Amino acid sequence: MIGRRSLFTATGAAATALSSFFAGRAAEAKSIVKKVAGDVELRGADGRMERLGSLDLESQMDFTAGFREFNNKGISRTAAMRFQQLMKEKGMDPKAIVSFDEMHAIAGSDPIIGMSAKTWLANQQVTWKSLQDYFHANADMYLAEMEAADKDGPGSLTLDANLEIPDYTKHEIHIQPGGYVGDPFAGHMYHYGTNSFYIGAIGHNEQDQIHKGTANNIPMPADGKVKRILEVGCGLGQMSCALKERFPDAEVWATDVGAPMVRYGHMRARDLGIAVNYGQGLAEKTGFPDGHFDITVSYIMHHELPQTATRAVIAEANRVTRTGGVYYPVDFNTGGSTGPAYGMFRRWWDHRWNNEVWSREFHTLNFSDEIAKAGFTLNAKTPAALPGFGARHFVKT
Amino acid sequence: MAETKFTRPTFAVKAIPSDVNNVTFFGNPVLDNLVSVVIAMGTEVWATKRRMKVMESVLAKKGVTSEMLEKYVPTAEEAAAWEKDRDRFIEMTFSALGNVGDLTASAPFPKRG
Ligand SMILES: C[S@@+](CC[C@H](N)C(=O)[O-])C[C@H]1O[C@@H](n2cnc3c(N)ncnc32)[C@H](O)[C@@H]1O
Repeated sequence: MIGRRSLFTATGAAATALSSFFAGRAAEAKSIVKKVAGDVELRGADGRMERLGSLDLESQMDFTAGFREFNNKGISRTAAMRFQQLMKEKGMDPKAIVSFDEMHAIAGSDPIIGMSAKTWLANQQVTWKSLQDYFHANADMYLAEMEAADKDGPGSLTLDANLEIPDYTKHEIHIQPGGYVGDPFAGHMYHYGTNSFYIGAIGHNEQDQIHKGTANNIPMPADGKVKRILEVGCGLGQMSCALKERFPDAEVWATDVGAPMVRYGHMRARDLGIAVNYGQGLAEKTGFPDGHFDITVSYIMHHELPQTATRAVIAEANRVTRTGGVYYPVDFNTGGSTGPAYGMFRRWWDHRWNNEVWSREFHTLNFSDEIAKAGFTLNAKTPAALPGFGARHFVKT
Repeated sequence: MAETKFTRPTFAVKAIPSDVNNVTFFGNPVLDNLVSVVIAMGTEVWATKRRMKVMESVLAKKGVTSEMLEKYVPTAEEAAAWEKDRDRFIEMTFSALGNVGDLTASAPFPKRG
């Protein structure tokens, strides 16, 4: 089981092998990305992953992926030991379970502890800045590529220029510059940035392995009928692509508040020949008819939402999912406003300084209870679709 | 770079910026800044080293063109070896960050036999 905050965040599983970008190559390293009109593919593709546009950028990402693991294994361990030492000095049990306030009192501004956070964050900033600098320097070419894809298929893209974008979605979550809505290349940056995050946490995802595994584990409705599927907060749509590949005869709809996210997602799905319908829209107000979907999912969206929004999204999922349909919001386990001191430290700076603005709201919620309250029934026997995350197989009753 | 002037529609709105650059973990912002510099420098150094590896590999096979460099895909063996070297490089450059300096400059030797 991995730490519950381990995916894009600080508590990467220490047991994963050190690995580089190339370890995520498709076995045969052959491109399966289709060459289509207007496509920019400067350095070829590796399976379903287009190679980054320059060798230097690829190497910068290789470094930051490696450093992330080094931080998780090396520098962090030193910080954890320092916590134990400080607790012993204060006459405390070094394994004591503490709150954030107690943790802060122990850590103070200890530089050894601080180093583990500072280096992790500086590395995260370099990851984003390298990507952003590259795409901005080549903005015209990459914007033209998206423009060519916007109206092309398979699949479709709908943008909503009149959408009122709630402030809570405008934060630079994970300190990604511009966040999901504020940079035209948010989707590009998120895709390549999270590749490196995945490597240090739960494994490679360059070929969408994690999303495919998760999509394949989403339970079917009891009657076996899957005609329409919805993913909300789809980001660049790796989960929706994986669902379409699993259910080729179903209509798959995928929405996200960030236009740059769905633009990139649509372009990528098109290049892969996967027909998903992407749209810019709010998870709490999808505009689909009542009972429209056989399966409704989200993938690590809720920990980035305030509690009020989470409740509104669950209510909307309940409205658009048909009776007997499956609702599966993949996300972290909730709970845990106390823990071992070092774990609490990581959780703290991940929230405060990695700018996971809403993670504390999510973790103090009983997410599964909230879903049950909205009229879904939990099938507690189904194991988690993404191992280490919450087991949340809900059925609309 | 974030001030880029775009000539095509961006479909982006103004984000709420994070204040991560204002935090000091060491009580002295200069120290925080130095750590940021070191990480960024490490990234650049590694990118340079890795490019050279690519060049060497390409050179070993044929003549050199920049397109050949850009498109070079390492073999599984090369990738494994480079990965090992990358981690050695990271270890070499950054392992000092794990040192715990708790002796003052004037501290005497500990008792020795
Ligand atoms: C951590 S990302 C996950 C993206 C994607 N599901 C994946 O597989 O990586 C969270 C996504 O939720 C989106 N989001 C946040 N609040 C939203 C809302 N109220 N409605 C729609 N999307 C939202 C963000 O724009 C972002 O793309």
